[in-house]
Formats: sequence, C-alpha cells, structure tokens
Amino acid sequence: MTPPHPAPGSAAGATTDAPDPPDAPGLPGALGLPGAPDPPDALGPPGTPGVTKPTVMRDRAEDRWRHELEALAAADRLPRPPGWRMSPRAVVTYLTGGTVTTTAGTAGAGMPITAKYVGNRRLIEIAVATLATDRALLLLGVPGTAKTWVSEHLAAAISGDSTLMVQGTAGTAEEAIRYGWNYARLLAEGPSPAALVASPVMRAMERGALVRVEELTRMPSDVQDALITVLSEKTLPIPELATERRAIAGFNLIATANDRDRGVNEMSSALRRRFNTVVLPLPATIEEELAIVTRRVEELGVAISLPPAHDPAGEIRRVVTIFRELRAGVTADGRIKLKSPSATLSSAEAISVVMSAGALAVHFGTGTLRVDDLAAGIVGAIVKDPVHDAVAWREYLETVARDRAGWADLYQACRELV
Amino acid sequence: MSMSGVHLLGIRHHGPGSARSVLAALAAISPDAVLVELPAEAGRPEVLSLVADPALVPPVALLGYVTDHPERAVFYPFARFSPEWQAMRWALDRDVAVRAIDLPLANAIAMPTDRRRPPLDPIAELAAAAGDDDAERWWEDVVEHRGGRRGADDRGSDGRGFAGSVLDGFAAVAEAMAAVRAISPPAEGIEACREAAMRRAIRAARADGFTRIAVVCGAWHVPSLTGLDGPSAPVGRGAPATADPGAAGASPREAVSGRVGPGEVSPAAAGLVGARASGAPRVVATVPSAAADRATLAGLPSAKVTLTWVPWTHRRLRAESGYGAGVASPGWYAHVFDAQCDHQHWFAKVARLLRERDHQVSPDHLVAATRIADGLAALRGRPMPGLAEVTDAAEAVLGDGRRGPLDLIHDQLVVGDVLGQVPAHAPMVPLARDLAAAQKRLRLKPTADDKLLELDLRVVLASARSQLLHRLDALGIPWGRLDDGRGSSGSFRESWRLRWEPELAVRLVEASGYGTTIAAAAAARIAEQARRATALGDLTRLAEVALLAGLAESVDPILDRLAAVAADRSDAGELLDLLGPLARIRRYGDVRNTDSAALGALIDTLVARACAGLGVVALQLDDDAAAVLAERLVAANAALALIDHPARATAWVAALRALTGLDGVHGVVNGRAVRLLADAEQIDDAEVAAAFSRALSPGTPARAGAAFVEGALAGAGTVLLHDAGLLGLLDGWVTSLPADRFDEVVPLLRRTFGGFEVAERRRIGELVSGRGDGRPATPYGWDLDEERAALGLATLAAIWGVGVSAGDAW
Repeated sequence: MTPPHPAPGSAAGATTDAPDPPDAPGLPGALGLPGAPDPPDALGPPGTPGVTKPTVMRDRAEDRWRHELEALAAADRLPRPPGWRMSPRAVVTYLTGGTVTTTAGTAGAGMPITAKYVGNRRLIEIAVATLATDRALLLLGVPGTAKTWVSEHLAAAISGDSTLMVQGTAGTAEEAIRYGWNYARLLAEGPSPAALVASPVMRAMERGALVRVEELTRMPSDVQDALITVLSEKTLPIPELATERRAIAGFNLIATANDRDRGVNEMSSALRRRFNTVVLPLPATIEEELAIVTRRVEELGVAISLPPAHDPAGEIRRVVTIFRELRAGVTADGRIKLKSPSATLSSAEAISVVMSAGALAVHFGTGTLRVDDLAAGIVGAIVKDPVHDAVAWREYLETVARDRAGWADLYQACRELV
Repeated sequence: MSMSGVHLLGIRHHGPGSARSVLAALAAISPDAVLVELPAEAGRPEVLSLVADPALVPPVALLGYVTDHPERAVFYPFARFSPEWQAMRWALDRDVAVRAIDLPLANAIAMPTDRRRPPLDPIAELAAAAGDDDAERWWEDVVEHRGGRRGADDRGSDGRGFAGSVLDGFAAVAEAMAAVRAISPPAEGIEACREAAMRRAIRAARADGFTRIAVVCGAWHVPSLTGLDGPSAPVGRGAPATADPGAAGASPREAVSGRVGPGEVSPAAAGLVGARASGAPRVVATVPSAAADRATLAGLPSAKVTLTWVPWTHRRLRAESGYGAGVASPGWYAHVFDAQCDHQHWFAKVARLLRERDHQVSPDHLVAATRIADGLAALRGRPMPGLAEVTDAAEAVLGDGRRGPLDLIHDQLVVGDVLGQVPAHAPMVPLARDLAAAQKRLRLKPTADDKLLELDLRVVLASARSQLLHRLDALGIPWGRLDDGRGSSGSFRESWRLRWEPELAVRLVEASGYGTTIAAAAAARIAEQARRATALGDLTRLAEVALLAGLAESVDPILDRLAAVAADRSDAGELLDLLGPLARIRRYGDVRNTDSAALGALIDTLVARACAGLGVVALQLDDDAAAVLAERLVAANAALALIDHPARATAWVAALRALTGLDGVHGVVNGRAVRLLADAEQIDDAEVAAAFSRALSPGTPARAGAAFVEGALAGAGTVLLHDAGLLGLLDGWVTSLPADRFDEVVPLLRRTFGGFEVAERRRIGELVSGRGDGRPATPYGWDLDEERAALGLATLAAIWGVGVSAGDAW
C-alpha cells in the first residue's frame, strides 16, 4: 500500500502553525492548542527527503498576527492606559475580530481583523476592562475553553509580548514567582543584584508588561500566596539585598485555572480577592461550537494536509453533536437523558478527533476522511474510564445514535469498536 | 428669558432619566399648569388629592373600571421614577394646577379595543438610525442616564445651563420622534381620538388663561401636539416645540444638520434624519384644527367609570408580567432615579444583600467593582455605566465565577420586591366590592371568631360558597381553612373553618392588582404562579386549585406548562407521582363537568413515558429508594384505576411485567409489581407461584428474597391465607435457610409480617404449624360474630332481592 503523501514542500511550508508538541496528544489543551497528532515532518517515514530547513512548530501570537497588531495600534486614536500598546477597545477588536477603525490616511485602515476568540464578546470586554483597571485577571473554565489562548493573545495585544509565563505545577517553587539565585555567583560574590535570577513575574514588573500564570491552582498554596504582595503592593521585596523591585505601570497578571481543579489547591481568600474572575464557558450553541471546530480544523488542516472528506462539515457536525450531548447529559432535543462520561469533551477534543481521523486517513487510509477513522477517535476521546464511560457510551449508541437518521454508518463503526 | 407658551416634555413611561429631566424642566419653566397624559377622570379631585397624600406610596396603579362591570378595567401603574408621577407630585406640592388630558376613560373603555401597538417601535427605529442594535441601551444612554452625575454637578454650579440643556434634550427627542412619525402611518382609531383629546385639553388650558403650560406625555405623541401655542401659531407647519427658540434651540432644520442640540441626542436625531432622507419624504406632522378635533371626538361611545388607587409591585411593573409598557429592571431604575446613577451606591446595596446571605464582600471588592464598571462603560463607549456594566462588574468581582450571587442580585435588586401602599380612605377597590357582593349573595358573613362550615357540593349554594373560598385561597386571602382529610377533591363534602382576620382586608387591597373580580383576580394569580413554577408538584397543585375554584379555563394553560416542564424530566418516578393528582383532577372534572381534553392527552403522554422509563428507574436502587418506588407504583396503579385508564390493560401491565423479569430490580419493587399484576388478574396463581419460587430459590440472595416477600405481600397476608401453595413455598424457603442467612432475613420478615392484622398473623401461624381446622380461610380469623353478620346479610338479601337465610352465610 502506498499512502499518498503530501509533497515535501507543502509539508515543510505548512508547519508555521503546527499544533502541540507530540508529547501531549490527547491532553485537552486550550482551544487554539488542541492535542492534535504530530505534524507530518515528525511522522514522516524515515528517509523522506526534502525536510531540510528547521522551522519552529508554532509562532508566538505577537509574531503570527504582527500585521494585525501593528495596523490596530497605528490606527488607534483612543487613550491608552499607561504601558499599553493599544487602547482597550482595540484590544477587544483584536480578540473578537472586526476591522481596523478607519482613520483617513492611516495605513491598514479598514483591514479585517480575524476573531481570535469566538464567543461572548462581553467576557472579553470584562477581561480587558479588568486589566485596564490594574486588577489581576483570573480566567476560569473547564479544560479546552481557550483560557490559555485568550491569555496569550491578551498579553500579545497589550504588552506585545506573550512570553512572560509561569506554568503552574505541583512542583512550581517560589523562585518561579519571586526570584532565584545564580549560586556560583552567590558563593563567589555574596548576595548582589548580579547574582539575582529574575522570575518572569519580576521581569514583567521591571518592564511594565503582562505576565501569565498558567494553571494557578496546580501550584502549592504557599507558592500561590507569594503573589499577594505583588498584586496588592505592586512591589517585590528582596530582603537579601535590602531592596525591592517596584512594578512599572502596565504590569499586570493573568492567571488561568481549571474549574475541575478548584479543589486541588484552593486559592486563599486573600489571593482570590485580588483577582477579578471571568468564567470562559463551553460554546453555548452547536452553531458556535461548529464554527470554532470547523475553523480550527481548516487552519490546522493546512498544516498537515487534511484530506478532503466527502462531507467534512457533516462529519464535524456529528462529532460536535455527540460531544455536546454527552457533555450536557441530554440529547439536543431535550428528550433523552444520558449519562455523562468523565472526559471533558471540549471543543478542543472535537478538533483533535477530526484532526487525528484526518491523519489516519492520510497516512494509513485511502486519503478521504472515513467514518471508521472518526469512530476510533470518538471512542478514544469519550471512554477514559473503562467501566463508567463505556456504559455511558454504549447507552448513547443504543438509545440515540442507533435511531438517528443518517447515522447508521457511524453507529456500525462505533459498535465494532466497543 | 421668557418661558411662556406650551412646553411639550416627551417622556418614556417609567424612565428615571425622563423623570429627572421633567423635574429639571419644570423647575426651569415654572409652569402655572401641568398637563399629564392620563385619562381625564384622573383629574377628579378625589383621585388627584390622593396623589398628594403621603400615605399613597408608589409603586401604585390608577385603576379605572366600568362601574357596573368591574371586570372591564384598566390599570395605569406608576413607580416613584415615573415621570408623570413626579410631575403630578411637583405640581401638587406647589399648588400648581394639574390636569389629566388624555381621552376620558369613559370613552376609551367603551371603544372597540385596538390592541395594535404603533406600527413602528419608535425607539428601535431611532436606535437603529443611530447605529445601535440595542434599543433599550441606546435610549438609556441618550435619555435616561442623561444628566446623571455630570448633570447634578452642573446644577450645583450653574442651574441655568443645566435647565437649558434639559430643554434642548426634550426638543431633540421631539425632533427625533417627528422624524419617526413622518415615516409611520397616521394615527387612527382610538389613537387619533386620544391625540385629539389631548389637543383639545391643551387648547382649553390656554383658553382658561394659563400662560406657562408644561405637558408631560409619551414622546411618541409630542409631534401631534405641536403648534398649539396660541391663536397666532401657524397650524400645520413645523413650529418649534417650545415657544422660545433661544431656550429650545433645535428647530427641525437645525437639528437635521446636527449643528444644534448639545447633549447626546442630536447626533442620533441627525443620524435618524439621515436615514430618512434616503427613503421617505420629509414631512412635518400636520396637526388637525380644533374643529377637526371636535368632529373626531363627537359622538364617542361612553360608559360610567370609577377610578381608584391600588398598591402595585415592582415585579408587576415588568414587561414579563404582561404589562405592555413594562420595564425590565424596575429596581435598577428606582436606583438610577434615587441615586443619580451613582453606581458606588448600587454596589453598596449589592454588598449588603450578599453579606446578609453569607457571601464575603469587602470594601475592596466594591472599589474594584466600581472601577471595572467605569472601565467597561468607557470600553463600550457609553456615557456612564448602565445595568449591563454593573452586572458584568459584579459577576467578575463578586461572583467568583458562581451563578448564585448574581441570580440573587437580579431577583432582589434589579427587579426588587417593593410593594406600594394606598391610604385607608382611598375609594374601595372593586375587588373588595365584588367580595362584599358575593358574601351577601352567598349569605356568608365575615366574622372574627372561628366558624365551622360544612358544605355538600351537590347543593348549588354550597358549591358556590366552596368556589368563593377556594378562589380567595388562590388569591392569598385565607379566609377559610379546609379541614384536613375532609376536602379531598374526589369527594362531595368539604369542611371549612372560617375566620376573617383584619389583615385580610389589606391583602385584598394588595391583590386588587390582579383583577377587579374575585374570579378574574384568582385566575390571574394562578396564571402568574404557573408561569413561575418549575416544580411538577407545584403545577399539579395549581391545576387542582384552579378546578376547585371553578376556574376551569385556567386549567389548560397550567397543563400546557406542566407538559412542557414534564418533557424535561426523565425520572419516570416523578412522572408516576404526577398521575395521582392528575387522575383526581380528571375524576373531579368528570363530576363537575369541567373535563378537559388537554388533561386526557397529558395523562396519556405521561403514562406512556412513565411506562417506557420504568425499567431504567427501577435499577440499582437502595432499600429506601426501592420502598419509595414501590409506593409510587401502588399510587400510580390506583390513579389509573380511578380513571379507568386503558393502559391498565396494556402498557402499564407490560411495564410491570418487564419489571418482574428484569435483573437488578430491587426485591421490593419486583414483589410489588407481581402483587399489582396478580391483583389485577393479569397473571394467574401459577405465575405468582413461579415468581415467588424464583425469588426464593437458593440462587437469589436471602435478603433479596425477603425484600421480594415484603413487596409482594404489601402489608397484608390475605394472599397467603388463600393460597396454600404460596404459603408452602414461603414456609419451605424459610425452613431451608441455613442459620446465618436466617439471621440475616429475620428483621426483614419480621417487618413484613409485623404489618399484618393480628388475626391474619395468628391464622398464618396456625396454618404453618398445621393446627388449622380446614375451614376456608378468612382474613379476619375466628373472631367473626355470625349473629351480627346475619343481620347484615338479611339487609343485603333484601337489597338484592334474593332469599338468604342466616344459616347459609358460609
């Protein structure tokens, strides 16, 4: 069997927006970073010629959308908060899409701005207003609701730099929030500013930029609380040097946290009080969710040359419908109650399912999106717990999928897998 | 600067900004007469004098009704922030003449009702022309929030400047409305009569010698009232809305060009006119002459009407309550009026509310919320934070991503629970009059001490009395309390305990907002409760109340709502619970000839859905849940029997049979299903024995077997007395149990048998121990008194017309 392989040139040229690194497949990332299969150059058969120039797998937001950011900033005549690259209203336009406000003689006037966040504009407005009033922003939501994606783009638009980031894990230490030491220098010279290793938070304070803290509630509580001084006093004391670093105007902090993790390391009320909370919901309607999935699949599809399906929109609709119904625990018409599996089943995972079905089709199939390939991905995404989830999925198949018009092929394909 | 002439203050009913602007305009104009768009009868001294009475506290409604037919009634609600209310209070406080200039209610109520709204929603048109898709928000920005904090400052430093800008604002609103009306069809029907009446009243006021006249009316009407300044004013031309161009500023042409009209309105007006220029011709409203108006108003039908004031609530000011001119957020509007848009004050109220409910809110939260609200307003380009901004700010700062606090804020503050008051000497509300008439007709005197009332509903008078008491109950006026156990809807007897408490009179006045007769008001209140109810139980209770109160026409909407709510429920157990009350309603409806087809259809659907879902809910139950389900099965079975539902022979039987064959069904449920089937003679003795045998076989856990016995015997051992085979089976099972398993089931069996009649227990014991004498078993054992039984038998024989001698009894 000789699977049709995309031309080397197209594969290499398409990696500008490749998805997550290969060590995180299946992990629900943010909406923009779905756990998707490896890009072709990682998967390509050994000995494939032509991949010579190394390219980064994923551009930073401020690089990828540099033209939009520059056009918005150039046309922006509204007042900007200190340290901001553009006015709050321009930031909202950058996130939710629109056009560059026309000002006569400005380059880029009327240029369309793509929507980075599809969903409730109100939420983005609250988030931007929060940052403009120098209160810290906490983005809450279940996995796959674009928390990281939104925070990256906010940082890119407001500070022009989305790289100041602390990833919260159970092992995150206080140095990641405050500062560490270059121990060689510390031993040689004693405590000195030169021996100090600044954390992303400290660098953001010095520069007057936004810093992002991902998965805040995964950090141990005592590490979280190191943020309190920073947020309330806008200063970071360095007792070893008997000095402090004071934040430059424009400094602020965006934290993301997972709704489901709230119990892991619950934030102290003292810290919580410093944040305004914006809850990013799962898409409210099936049309909204379809739009997100379809658009992302198209964008990513360019990167790995997703094969043309006979009815890609129809296939995506089926996947999204299944995920939505199982997530809600009830069918779309509200008539049949369902068991909800333990998996999150976010839009990001729907994207991932479609993408992996596409990859299967490209590398091991006939080159068209087949329902069998989709079925494998769907079952994999839903059945995380072999007992409970399998029951929920089987019930769904038998009570809903079996009798739904036009779903016979999907039903058959899924049944064979269970 | 001269302020003489007619000043048209176009407002939106219940607009807090309009109310403030009206007050400012009145202060600037200092009119000698204030004309208000209210039916002419509202100008009667006995009605108007109450407005000045401090005991009349808004929200209140002016209630007008046809004197002889109180069910034909109209309410005109007022909140404290209603511009008309403020204008009347302003004038009465200063002894300035107040006149109600709208078409007399006597005519309006007698004319054919024309429920059509204006063909265009004027505010939506204006907002669209101004490029805003949210009409409500646009109007708030340009009118209601106008002169908020900024305006208050202006007034402090330079009163003239603020007044001038307020009058400009009214001129601009008038201008904008004129543009909308130019592209709308002319007023006709009752609308035309109303505007003719208003013009007539304005002309009359001028003729009476008033020189500075302020007219407070809906903005929509302003264009049709222009040009009445005096005999010299050219009629039919676009005269300025006020006499003094210097004060008013905005003549039509200037407003079109957008040069004049400071404040926020003019750009909108300009935008609107721009939209108009592309389409419809530019026409300034042609105002009919006095003679034409006289002709319009000649020979209108008329009825005798009575007006009075009744208390109202913020909740009923909302559009959702069915009030056409309602507002979505009365509580917020009251705040905007009182606190001049000061949203710090709003957040302070929010904080107090949340602290009462044990949410942590610190002053720092309030600072943050205020700043976010300001930031959002700036971001969205609004002049100051509106409800959307303070709500979003509360969500981000106080909500912590939880829904609860926000719902609380909406319910308690944005809408609010404010209830108005009416002085005791206000004219009697028609509801009270209707009750008094009913009390007289039904010979029921209100007394302060307890009085017992026994009603036989087959008697017409008693039935009417019962309906009245049930209606009052539905209105929240519990004059009578139904004695428990005697008033079930299936019976013909009701027993009431009556006591008239003085506060019931207050409740009667409060309830007068629902309608003018007891029947109509009770129906309206039931309908309102049905709209808000989400629990199935509440809805069935309401349907029952409606039937008992003789409001059969109210039942169908409740059932529709019930069907909608039930469609969302998937728990067959809940659906089974519904069958009981619904069957009673059905049965009672049959008795009272108030049957409804919708009810039959609803019951059929519920039965079908409950039967289909029975298998699912019967699985994986613990002991308590299984006992509940078993009782539900019995109740549903009884309900089906009560109305002799066809499913008793089909779907219901099939569903019960399916239960008995299902793995994982709790023993109690299984046993009860077998019992119900056996009682209905849907399975024969052999099948019952087989079911017992299966349940009691060694393969089944002993506890499950005992649970099955409990379910199947259902508190009565008769079946064991009748069926020696079954008893033998049970006996064999118990004796076959090894000691440890026997210990396990003894408590269960003891509970089962403990529920039997003493005589039954004794008889079963005798049968099992072989001491029986072979006589046919009777459930009541040996204590049968044959002599007494013979007496009864003789009577029965007489009834049946057969000869039975005492000796043949057994």
